[in-house]
Amino acid sequence: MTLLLSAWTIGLILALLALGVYISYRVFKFADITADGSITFGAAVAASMLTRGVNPVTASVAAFLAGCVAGLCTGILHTRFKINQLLSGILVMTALYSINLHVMGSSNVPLLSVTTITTYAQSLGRWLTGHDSATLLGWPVSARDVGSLILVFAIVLVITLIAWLFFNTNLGSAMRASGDNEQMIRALGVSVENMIVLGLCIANGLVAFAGALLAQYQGFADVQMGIGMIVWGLASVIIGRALIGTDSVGAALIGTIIGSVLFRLIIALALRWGLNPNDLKLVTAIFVFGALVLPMLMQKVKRHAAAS
Amino acid sequence: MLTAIRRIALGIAVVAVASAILLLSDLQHRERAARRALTKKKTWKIYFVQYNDVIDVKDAERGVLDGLRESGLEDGRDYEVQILNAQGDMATVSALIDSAITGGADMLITFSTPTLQAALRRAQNVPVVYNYVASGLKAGAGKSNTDHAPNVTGVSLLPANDEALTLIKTHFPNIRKLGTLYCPAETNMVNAKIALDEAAKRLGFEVVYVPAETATDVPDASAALMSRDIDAVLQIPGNLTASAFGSIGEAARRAHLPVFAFQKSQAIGGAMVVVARDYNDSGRHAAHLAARIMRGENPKKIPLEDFAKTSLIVNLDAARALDITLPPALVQSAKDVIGDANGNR
Repeated sequence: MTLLLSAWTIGLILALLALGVYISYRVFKFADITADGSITFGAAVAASMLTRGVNPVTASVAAFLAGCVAGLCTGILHTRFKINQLLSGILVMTALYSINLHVMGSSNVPLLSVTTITTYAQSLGRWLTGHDSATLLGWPVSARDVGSLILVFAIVLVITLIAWLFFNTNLGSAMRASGDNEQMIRALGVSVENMIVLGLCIANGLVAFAGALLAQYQGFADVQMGIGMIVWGLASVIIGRALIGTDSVGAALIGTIIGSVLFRLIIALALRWGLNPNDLKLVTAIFVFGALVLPMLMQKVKRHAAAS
Repeated sequence: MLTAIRRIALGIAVVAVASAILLLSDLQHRERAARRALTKKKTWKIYFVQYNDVIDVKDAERGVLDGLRESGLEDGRDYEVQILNAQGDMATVSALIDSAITGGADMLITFSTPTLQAALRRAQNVPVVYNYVASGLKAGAGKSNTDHAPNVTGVSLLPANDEALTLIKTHFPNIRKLGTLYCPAETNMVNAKIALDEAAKRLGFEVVYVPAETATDVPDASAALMSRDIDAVLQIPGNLTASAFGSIGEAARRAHLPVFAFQKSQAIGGAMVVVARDYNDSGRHAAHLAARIMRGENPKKIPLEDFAKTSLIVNLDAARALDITLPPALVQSAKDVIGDANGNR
C-alpha cells in the first residue's frame, strides 16, 4: 500500500513535469532539454530557501518563477540568436548545472529537519485520520503518505484547471495555433517568437515547480536529480496520447497526467515483482514502445474486423 | 466529446487495474507478514539499497556481505539479502525504499547519500545502516555522532587528505606544490577538492586544480597540469579520473613527476604512492553494526562512526622510473608493494 501511495504521489508530481513537456513538445514541437536542468533548478531554489526558513508555499512559487527564467533563456537563445532548438536547451541545461551548485552551495541539501509542504501534508493526514497512522482497506498506512497524496492531487488538479482555462483564452489559443500553423498565426499578426518564449517560460516553470515538490517529498535536493527527467516527461506525454488521444486540450492534459501516473505504477510493479534493476530501463523502453504501437495495432484489428 | 470521455474512462480504468495489481501483489505479503510475526525464530530480511552501479559500490557491497558472514550470522538462516539499485536514477530512489518496505524489509543497508536520505525520510520504522557515504551527518542522519535519528546508524568515509599530506611532508620534504585534475560535474570530486583545499592550507601545501569534463579532455588537461610548475601530482578520487588515470600517469611520467593517489586501482595503474580509503573495509564495518542490531541492540544507542582507516600501497616500479628511492620506513609500512626496487619482477 505504501508503494501504491508513493507511486501515485510521485506520478502526480512528475505529471507537472509532463505538463511542462507537453507544452514544449506537443504544442510547439520543441524538444526542450532544458527540463533536465530546470527541474533541479526548481528543487535547488526551493531547498535553499526552505533551509533559510522561508515558507514552503513561497519557496515553491519562487521555484516556479526560477524555472520561468530558465525557459526564458532557452526561448531567447532560440528565437533571438537563432540557435537550434536542441542546442539552446542543451546550453541552458549545462549552464544550470553550475548555477544549481551555486544556489545550493553544495551538491546535496537535506530537507529533513525543515518545514516543507510535506509537513503540511502530515498535518492534513493527521487531521483526516486522527492519528499518525491509519488503516486503509486493511493496510496500515502513515498519515503523511495519505496527506501527501491528497495535497499533491489537489495541487495538480488546480494547475491542470488553470492550464486548461489558459489554453482556452485568446492568448492560449494563439499559442497553440503558433505550434500548429505558424504561417497562419503570423498572418494574423501574432509574433510566433514571443509565443515560443512565453510557452517555454510556462513549461519550465511547471517543470521547476515539479522539482520543488519532488525535493520536498523526497526530503532532499541533489544536483544530479534532473538527469534523464526529460525522458520520463516525454514518455508520460506519449503514453497519455496513446491512451487518450489529442481530441481536445482538456483530453490531452488529462491524458498526460494519466500517462505519468501509469508510468510510475508500472515501475512500482516491476520493482515489486523483483525485477532485476539492471533491466528497469529496458522494461520502460519496451513499455513506451508498446504504448506507441498499441493504438495503431488496435486500429488495424478494428479495420480488419469491419472489413470481414 | 463522447469518444474523449470514453477514452479518458479507459485511461482511468488502466490506472485502476495497474493499482489493483500492485495491491494484489502486496496482499500475499500482508498475510505472510502476519504469519511471520507468529513464528518466533526470525530470519532478517536485509535490503541493500544502492544509487548506482560502480566498482567502488560493488567493493563496499562485498565488504558488507563478508562482514555479515564474519559476524557469526548465517546467510539463509539468520538473514537473507536482497539488492536494489536505482541505476543512477534519482526518481527511482524513493520507490526503491518503498518497495523494500512493502517487501517486508527488516533492515535497510544503504550505499551512497541519496539512498540514505530517501531512507531517512521514508523508512522511519525500519533500522537503517548506511555506508559508502562521505558524511552521514551532512546527509541529515543526525546532529552529532551520538545524537542521531533513532533507527539509523552507519559509517562515514572521511577523506584521507591529512594522511596523504602528512606522508608527503614526512617522506618527501621537497614537495610543496601539488596538482590534481578534477571534474566539476562530479559532486564527489568537488567535495574532495574543497576538503583537500582546507587540509592543504592547514599543512602548508599549495595545490593547483585543473578541470576536465570528459575522458577526452583528460590528456590535454593532464599536460596542462604538468606545465603548471608542480612538484608532484596528488590525484583526488573520482570516477572520471579513475577511468582515465592512464592519461594522467602518462603525462606525469613524461614530465618526470611522482604521482600520489587515493584509489587502490591507481597504484596498479602507475601511481607511486597510494593512500587508499578502503570501501570494502568500511562496508565490513557497517555489517558489524548491522549484526549488533540483529542481535538486539537498539540502533539509537549505536553511535555513528567515521571510518578513517587507510591502507598504504607503494609502487616501486613507478619510483624507479623516476629515479626516486622510496624511504625504507615508508615501504615497510605499506600494506601492498608493487614491483621491485631492482627492476626484477
